[in-house]
Amino acid sequence: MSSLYVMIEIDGRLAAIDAADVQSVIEVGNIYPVPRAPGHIAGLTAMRSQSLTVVDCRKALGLTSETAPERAPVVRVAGHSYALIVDAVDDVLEARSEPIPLPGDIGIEWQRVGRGMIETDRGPALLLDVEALIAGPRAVAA
Amino acid sequence: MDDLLADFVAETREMLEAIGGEIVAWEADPADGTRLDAIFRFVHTVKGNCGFFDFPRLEKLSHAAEGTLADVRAGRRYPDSHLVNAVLAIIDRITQLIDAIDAGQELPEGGDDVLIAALEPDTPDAGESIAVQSVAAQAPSTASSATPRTIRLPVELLDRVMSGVSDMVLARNDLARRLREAGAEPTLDGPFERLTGILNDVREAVTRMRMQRIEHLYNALPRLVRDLSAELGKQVMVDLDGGDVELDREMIEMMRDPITHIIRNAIDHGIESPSARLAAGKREIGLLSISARQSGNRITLTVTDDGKGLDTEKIGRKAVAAGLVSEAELAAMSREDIVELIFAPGLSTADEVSAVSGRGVGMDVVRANIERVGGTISVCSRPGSGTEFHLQIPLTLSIISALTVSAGGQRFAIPQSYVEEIVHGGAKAIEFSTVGETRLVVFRERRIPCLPLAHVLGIGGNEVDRRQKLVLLRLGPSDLVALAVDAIHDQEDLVVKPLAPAIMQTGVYAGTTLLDDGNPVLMLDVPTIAAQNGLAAGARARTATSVAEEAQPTDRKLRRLLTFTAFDGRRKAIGLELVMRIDQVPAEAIDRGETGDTVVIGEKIYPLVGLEPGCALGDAVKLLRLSDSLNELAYAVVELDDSIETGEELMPTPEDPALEGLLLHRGEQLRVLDGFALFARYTGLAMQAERPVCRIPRDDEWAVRMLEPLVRAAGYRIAEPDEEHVDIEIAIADQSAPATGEVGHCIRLYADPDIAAKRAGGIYRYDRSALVEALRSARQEKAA
Repeated sequence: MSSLYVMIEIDGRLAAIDAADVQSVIEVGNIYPVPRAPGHIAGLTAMRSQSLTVVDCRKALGLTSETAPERAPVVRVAGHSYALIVDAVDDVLEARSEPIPLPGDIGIEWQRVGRGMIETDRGPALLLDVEALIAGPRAVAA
Repeated sequence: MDDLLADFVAETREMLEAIGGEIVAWEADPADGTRLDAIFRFVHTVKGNCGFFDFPRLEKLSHAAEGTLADVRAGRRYPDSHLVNAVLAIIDRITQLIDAIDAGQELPEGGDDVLIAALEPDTPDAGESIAVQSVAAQAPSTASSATPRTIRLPVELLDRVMSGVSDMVLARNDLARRLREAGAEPTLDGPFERLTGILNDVREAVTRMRMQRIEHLYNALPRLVRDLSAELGKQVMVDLDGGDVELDREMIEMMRDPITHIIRNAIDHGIESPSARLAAGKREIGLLSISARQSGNRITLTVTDDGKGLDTEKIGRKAVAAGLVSEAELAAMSREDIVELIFAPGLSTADEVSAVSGRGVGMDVVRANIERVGGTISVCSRPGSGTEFHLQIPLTLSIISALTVSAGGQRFAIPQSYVEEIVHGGAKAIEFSTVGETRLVVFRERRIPCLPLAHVLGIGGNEVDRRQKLVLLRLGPSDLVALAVDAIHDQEDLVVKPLAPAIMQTGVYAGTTLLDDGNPVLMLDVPTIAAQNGLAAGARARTATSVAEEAQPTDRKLRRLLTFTAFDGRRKAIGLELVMRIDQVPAEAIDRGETGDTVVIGEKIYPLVGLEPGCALGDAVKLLRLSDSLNELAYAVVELDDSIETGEELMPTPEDPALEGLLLHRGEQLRVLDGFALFARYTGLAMQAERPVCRIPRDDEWAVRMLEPLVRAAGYRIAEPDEEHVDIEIAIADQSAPATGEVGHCIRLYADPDIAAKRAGGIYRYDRSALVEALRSARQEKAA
């Protein structure tokens, strides 16, 4: 019933990505910046003869601080692979509940990337909509 | 149809091969249920497939076998050796039939009924002997079935091989770097070179496996256009160009929906109804041209219609209504910007949602789909004269030779195909100057705009340093631009992969790739960079402007005729390919002379045909302007009717040389004018001078009797036997000895229409229209 989630931290908050969406978790090596790309695109990095687009999750949420690259889950959206750099990648956990709707206003950017909330052993976590996350902050869409 | 048939044959063969073992096993142990299932599935599939193809014999055989096997499966019959033999005999016969179909031969006659009868329980021993017979009969035919062998593979497998080969290339490159670092090692160099060579071969082969001609996309379009235009009461012909451009198979699939959508829109909204077109002074038949060009690492697809163009006012209103822009914003927008709004989500310009377009899938989806594969789409539209969509899509998986450069401390790749020359900024021949904000360099006495790459990318200033290097990029036949970079590294073959949409939207990159050392590098999108900086965007595909030149029916079997009422009161028709335009002239423009009528249109005098002696003209006369590509003449008509499309054979009218024949159309007789007789008669003098020469086989009775008059009527002079130079040769080909010799052009006539259809350039000897068309196009080429 309950599915597995990769637990991550963004800006000190606990968040979850459906484990089925995550291809692997990599150590991010050199990041090659992409001039003129939107702010949340940190650049490109290589993973086994494949190049990944690196998304800075803090910036993707409209936060100004940069994330220090560490370990990053790799997700595949619409045929492209992305490495999400986050504060920390924790365990893979089983949710204790089905996703439940978000409790009221949690901030416009968080609201945008949230699909719901799940209860885990480590407390409540925001279930991320990966596609919305990599689309970047609102300003880009306008 | 041929493709389908080939698929059918291939699939059946595959299954036959696969069940080969099952059959033997079943023979050994007729009680084995799983074998039986496999064989049952086979005959069942064959039955299903051949119903689709109309092979009654195959269907009958497989149906009989299926019935018997179903009985066995249901336990109603026991598979004794007699039954097994009978079933095997049927499978063998199926094999023979498939071979015959594949070879295009007549199916071997008869004997099926005996085989089917043998399935019945009370026909002892018949099966055995027949099975043996048919195996014996089959033996010689196996040799002839040595057609190119094909297998079908899932695309994922191809992808895996492809990416495996890409990885191998990267590993090879890595190894090469290490070998260089380790210094010369003669014992390793040889094998390494060999490895490199093999790898290159494999890579090329794998790339080719994925490529397909864009024809595969084109094939479905004439039908689509035909159906749509019929549904919407419009007349549209389609001109397809560049079908031999090769493109990644998957990319072709990705393009199918966007192209279809654009075509739907063009026919639904772009091209006007025939009456509106005539009123606007256009040919009543709309022209839709689609062309494909490869330019560097991109394919440019252009879809052009000659309709009414995009209605910017309407788009603007809709955009305001949909809340996309405000009135004030709209007022400030240029026409181009408004046209671009069609790509905005939630905009549909159709007043009513018609069945064809405007079903909620908008151009925004088209754009999204194209951008997803790393392409771009742009539109330009001229009011009243048409709309043009440019789709640029990358050859993502192709391997591109690229130059790596660095600017602002980063490396970038430039497709080699754009690079014209590399110059050192310090070279004496170079002079810099600044006009406004634009840098210019003078190189070989030409002023060339110069873009500092770092500035273009926003990672550096707009200064050009003498220490920098200039990469001269060619954008078009005469457009050069210089890109100033910090350093030039290497030329490498790179496997370009698409970029994420967020990066694509910057517009300056065409893709990404990994360098020898495994580091990612961005490939610059040269045309877009140039366009963003206000420089000519090159690599535009040919646009269809000259209607007369484009107006060639795509399907030769279907002729398009324009019908009209002539001055003699009769309904007539003429091939649409001859009609250049429709004019209306005042009666005074017409001069009725003793020897022939003439008319003044614009500043030229044209021979005028079609008037009856002494007929009343009225104030104005409608004219068809006809052209055979060299000469023009005018044909006066009383009334224009619609244009029709027909595949009917004409009934010949030998007694009237001016007519090609009679056509029955909606219960009415149409006199179809022979355009060539017309031109031969009325522009004879003009043509005399440059009549091309055609050689026909003098020793062939048929050629002299039948061919010669036709060739003469088409405006050719028949070559003398000893004449060396001829423009075109017509040969009567038979299967055994195909005509040889390259004499510019050679038209081959076949006595058998089926064989003619299979040979490139082959024409069935009584296919008059195809022959005339071939002669016409040959002459056009000569004239060009």
